[in-house]
Amino acid sequence: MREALIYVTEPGLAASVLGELAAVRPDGLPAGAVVQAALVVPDATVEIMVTAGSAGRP
Amino acid sequence: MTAPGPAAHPQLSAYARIGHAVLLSAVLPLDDAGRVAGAGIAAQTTLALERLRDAATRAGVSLARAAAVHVYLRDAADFAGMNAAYAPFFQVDPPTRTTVVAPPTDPAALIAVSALVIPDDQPREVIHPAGWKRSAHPYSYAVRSGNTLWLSGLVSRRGADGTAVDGDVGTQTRVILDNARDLLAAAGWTFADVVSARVYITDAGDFAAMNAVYREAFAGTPPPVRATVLAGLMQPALRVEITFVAVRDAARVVVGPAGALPFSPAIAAAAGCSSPVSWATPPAPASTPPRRRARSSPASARRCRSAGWAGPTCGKR
Repeated sequence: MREALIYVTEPGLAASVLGELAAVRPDGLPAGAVVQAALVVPDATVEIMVTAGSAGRP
Repeated sequence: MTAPGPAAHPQLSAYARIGHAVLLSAVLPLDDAGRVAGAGIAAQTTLALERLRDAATRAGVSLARAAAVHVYLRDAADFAGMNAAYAPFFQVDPPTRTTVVAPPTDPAALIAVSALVIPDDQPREVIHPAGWKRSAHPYSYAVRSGNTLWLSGLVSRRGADGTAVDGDVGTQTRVILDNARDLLAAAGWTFADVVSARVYITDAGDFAAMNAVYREAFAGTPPPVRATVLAGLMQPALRVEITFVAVRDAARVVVGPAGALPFSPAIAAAAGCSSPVSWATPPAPASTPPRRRARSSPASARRCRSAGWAGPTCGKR
């Protein structure tokens, strides 16, 4: 995982989402962004778009 | 590689290398003490871009060679002020840009900015369709580096003269896709090369109507990965904005767990369908067993269609 674009419905959710991300990426966190947005699914509170890749591969 | 540093959120790396490009995490308008500073959008935009430029320097790249920038504003009313402060940072061949209202999680910040930057030793070329007017704002419509093409966040405007095309979300989506097709064609590419889309709509009620038009662009080809969220756009009449990334790679394949990977579990569960996920990947080794074919379900296919989704794996579980 190189990039995580994270949308949260409430700013207060950012810390816990990033905490969960750190738990699955203890070897190195991705770059990315965390911003607030409403989601299409009414009850969802977080949406994450991930880009994976290998460094240096054109 | 990824690197720790003062990103907008310390839990994120300041930058990461993706292929030959460098992704700089979203930054806030922070002062030297790490606090959000700057009175008003102009000062905050300048501060944020200075922090982004610092991050680029630490990553060994130049912000001026950005291919794609994402600007997240707290208030659409700040668009003009942001542009005025933004332009001096990108005076020649500016990068593509997507600007939406998606507030930074720090309540004092009016803006957050991220960028994907091309190193000096890699090609970087602005792509501009013949007959199109240059954007009135400080961004290019498309930038190519190697086998990757980044498009700006597209809204419902005529490429030739930049005038707005009013209409419902279906009309606006069609204009956006027509513009994207022109931009891809200017690079000699097509929708079959698109691997990623970020869709911003202003009203959840527009989701199905947007999808109905969107899927036409990808008829006959696996649609790209996609995230769709609700966000404010820069003009009140705008209902949808879409940002595409394309990769020309003969080895482009749909990947995901056998049986397909739901891009949004709640949507997939509600619609009874799964979503394809596409990315450019190396060819699978000859020893790799073929993916298990998904099983079709006419009932779930109907639910997919009613939810506005009819991709190749629609109705398959």
